[in-house]
Amino acid sequence: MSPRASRVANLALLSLAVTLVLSVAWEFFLEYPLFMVFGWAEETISISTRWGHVAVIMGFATFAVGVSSMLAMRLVHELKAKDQTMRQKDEERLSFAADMAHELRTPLAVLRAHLDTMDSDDAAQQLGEDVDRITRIVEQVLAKSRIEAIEIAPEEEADLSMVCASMAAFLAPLVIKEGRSIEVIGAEQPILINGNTFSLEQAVRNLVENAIKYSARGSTITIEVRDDPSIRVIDRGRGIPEAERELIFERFRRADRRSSGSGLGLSIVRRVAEAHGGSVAIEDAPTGGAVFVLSFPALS
Amino acid sequence: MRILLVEDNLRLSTYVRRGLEQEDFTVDGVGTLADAEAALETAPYDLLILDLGLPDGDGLDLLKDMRASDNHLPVLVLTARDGVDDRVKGLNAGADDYLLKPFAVEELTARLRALLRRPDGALGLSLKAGNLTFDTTAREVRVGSDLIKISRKEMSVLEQLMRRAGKVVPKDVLESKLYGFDEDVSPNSLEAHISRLRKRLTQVNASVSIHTLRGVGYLLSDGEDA
Repeated sequence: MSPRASRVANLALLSLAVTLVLSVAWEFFLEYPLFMVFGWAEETISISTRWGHVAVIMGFATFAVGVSSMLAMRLVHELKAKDQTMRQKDEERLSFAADMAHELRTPLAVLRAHLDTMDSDDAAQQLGEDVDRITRIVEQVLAKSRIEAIEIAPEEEADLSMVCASMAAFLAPLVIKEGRSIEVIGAEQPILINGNTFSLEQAVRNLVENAIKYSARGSTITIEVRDDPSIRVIDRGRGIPEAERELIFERFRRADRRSSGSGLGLSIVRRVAEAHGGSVAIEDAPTGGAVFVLSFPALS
Repeated sequence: MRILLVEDNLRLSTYVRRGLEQEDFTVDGVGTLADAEAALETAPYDLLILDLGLPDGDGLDLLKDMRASDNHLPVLVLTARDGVDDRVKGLNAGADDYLLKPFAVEELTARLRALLRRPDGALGLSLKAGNLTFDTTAREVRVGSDLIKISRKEMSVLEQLMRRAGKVVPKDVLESKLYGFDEDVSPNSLEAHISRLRKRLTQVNASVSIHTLRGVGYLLSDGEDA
């Protein structure tokens, strides 16, 4: 029996038991003593008649509970079927994104290899950068669909220090290539939360990529881990005006339409925060620039 | 250096071959598992580049068969599948490295060189970054063709950084390569070596630079960046 069906059965048995207790209480402990005291009609006083009343009440109750249980069971079945369809649709969406990414990767690889083996000139280099950008968008679409479907098990643990240190090391070549530097502070000790490492890495990656885009060459991007527990990504760019702070987390919203991003990055960040029961906020950095704060519930 | 490239996309195969040939590799290209098996039986290769989705089967099956028959040829897997599970499956089947499509030809050649430099690999142990070369057997460092003199400790820092040129080397990895178990390491001693090495490299006009990334590690990049 499915958990929902057994809950319906338990509820039905409980209602019948309550009805039995209440009807016995009424017949024998309330109505019977009252009738005895006032000496009303002889036949209503007899014990066997009282049991007869209880039997009739229980008959009606069983009928009513039976009908409502059947209706509830039908509803349960419908819900289950709907649940399954939803799950199937989620899986289809995920595998569609994965298939799309897979199908795009090979032609992108052909393009990239062709450009790499052309006599190098500025045009080939610029086109190469465009291919990298498209590749990143393909990755983000895939990450977005994976994170959309993410469910974090109660026993799943992630170490924020490890996530930040490994993403900083992963992104450092890109950061250096773009003429910025990166540092991680506060990550000496593990800081554990109930969370999913892959999705947290994606959140940090998108925040750092965002920081690269909106900070000046020669500046340093700081990732700070705190045990409250939270992650801060601090850039030394021009900051984000208060009025725009809520809007930039929306999908396909970009601060600068001329910029090259997919517009998915910050919506991924927000989704990751929500999936962890946490939040993302933007503050002003004391040194100028923006601080993106990802806060999570402490591990209980 | 003879390489077998198993890739069914003809255009990708052509450009990759061209790119590798420009880097002085000899490359034979085949497009199916059957042709790959035949090629492996007839010619001695130093390395195999293997695409996973092939018209007559999965590249991983060829890899498993090779490993089962005790063939230790270094294998780099090329794939368009990017799930973590797929990566683990590839490495479990015996792949030595894994590269996701699309990739820069430069990245591919760097990975191939790294595989060939392994202890049983076919390449000698010569590291290159920018105008700097490091012969790890003779322990000689050159800028262009000029031999330069640096201390033993700084040389071993440089070796680690050049082995992972363009990537981060964590501070604790450098320290563990540099100091014995019994040696006392003061917190700033590594930074002092790095700073002397950095100065030395500037003196001799090396085109590389060493970046210190607080809380992350050190990164050697060729001078065009930053």
